[in-house]
Amino acid sequence: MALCLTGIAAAAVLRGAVGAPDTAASMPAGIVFALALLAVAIAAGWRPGRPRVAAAAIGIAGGGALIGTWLLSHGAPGLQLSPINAGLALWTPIVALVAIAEEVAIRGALFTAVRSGHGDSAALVVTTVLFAAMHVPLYGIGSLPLDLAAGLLLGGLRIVSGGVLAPAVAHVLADLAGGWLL
Amino acid sequence: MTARRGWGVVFVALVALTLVWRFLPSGSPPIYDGECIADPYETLGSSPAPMPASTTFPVAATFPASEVLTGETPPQAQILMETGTFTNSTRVTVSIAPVAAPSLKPPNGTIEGNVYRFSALNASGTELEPTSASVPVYIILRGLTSSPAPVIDRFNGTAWTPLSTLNAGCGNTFEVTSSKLGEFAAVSPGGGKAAPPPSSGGFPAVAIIGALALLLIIVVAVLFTLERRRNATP
Repeated sequence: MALCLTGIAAAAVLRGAVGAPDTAASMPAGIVFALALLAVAIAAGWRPGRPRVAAAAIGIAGGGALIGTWLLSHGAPGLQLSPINAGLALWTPIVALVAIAEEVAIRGALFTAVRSGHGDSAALVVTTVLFAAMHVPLYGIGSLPLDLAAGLLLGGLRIVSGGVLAPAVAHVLADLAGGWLL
Repeated sequence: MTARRGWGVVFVALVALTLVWRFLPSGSPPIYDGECIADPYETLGSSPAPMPASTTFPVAATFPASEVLTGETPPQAQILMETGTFTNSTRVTVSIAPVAAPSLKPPNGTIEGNVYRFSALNASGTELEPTSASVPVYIILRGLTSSPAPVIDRFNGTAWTPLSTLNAGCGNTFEVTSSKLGEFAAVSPGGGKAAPPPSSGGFPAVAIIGALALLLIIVVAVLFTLERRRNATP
């Protein structure tokens, strides 16, 4: 578990180093970060399971919930799809890759490592706090409550579905909504 | 933990999300994370020029919660307003415009990026301010870097005042609350930069960082392998 945490932290530091001075906007930093996280997960022994339709459906519902709570508070009027351009076309797969890598490393490898020694509750707390904390350098302290709540939801999806697919699908949908919806 | 308790976690998280979104200033941060799309910073006097923004709000019993933002990605200047921020007995026009920096320098550093004038005018052209300090406006400006983090200063025509500044996320954006409009700018402590750094080829830096990334991944993989072997040993 300690090495898993260290590896994820190292990946986050690496992302900051590659992406400075504007890490959140750096696509190369996002790619390096995602690859580092996947390497950490694979080194920790994580392997993909057989995808299940039910898990994918739970993930889609979870993504809908993540986006829906935002729409509920901000209102849908004026909402529209962003115009497709080269930037968005490049951004989309990178964001999806980063989201999947985060889920594989955090709610895949790390969750399993913590759960094996300390149970589901501890795994939920550790992964939720880590998920929120690693986004603070990118999006500021104001993002902490939002990412804590989002991390809790993704952790809940992980427990309900028994795998990474559901939180990964939800995470990808929510992140892509940030770019595709105006 | 059972699936039933897992659904309980999901329910609690949904309630928390709804509450968090309800009380966050609108527009910040964007939905969760994801790499943000950030165009190069547009500096006043360069081409393309930075964009102004203006929205006219019709007469209403209460000024609506709203936002005005410039057209860049992400916007280089934004103002978020709560319900009742301005007296709305006549139409109100809220504007953002990049302006030339005053000759007076901020006391806490160097202006980075543009100075933006935020104003609200009623139908007769009278300048408005927020009706009370309890309904401040949120001013969000894009800086050129997050390290060192800039401070947003307000210029009242005679002096610059540094304001308590929060990192607002994507694209080096920073946020302050203010009970007054006026001119605002991101101020870099110390030297700062007056314009975005020119793009350099950067191949050596990319190569070095890539090599470091590879080295780090190898080190982590080796450590994991050692740990797993140790754990496997009876």
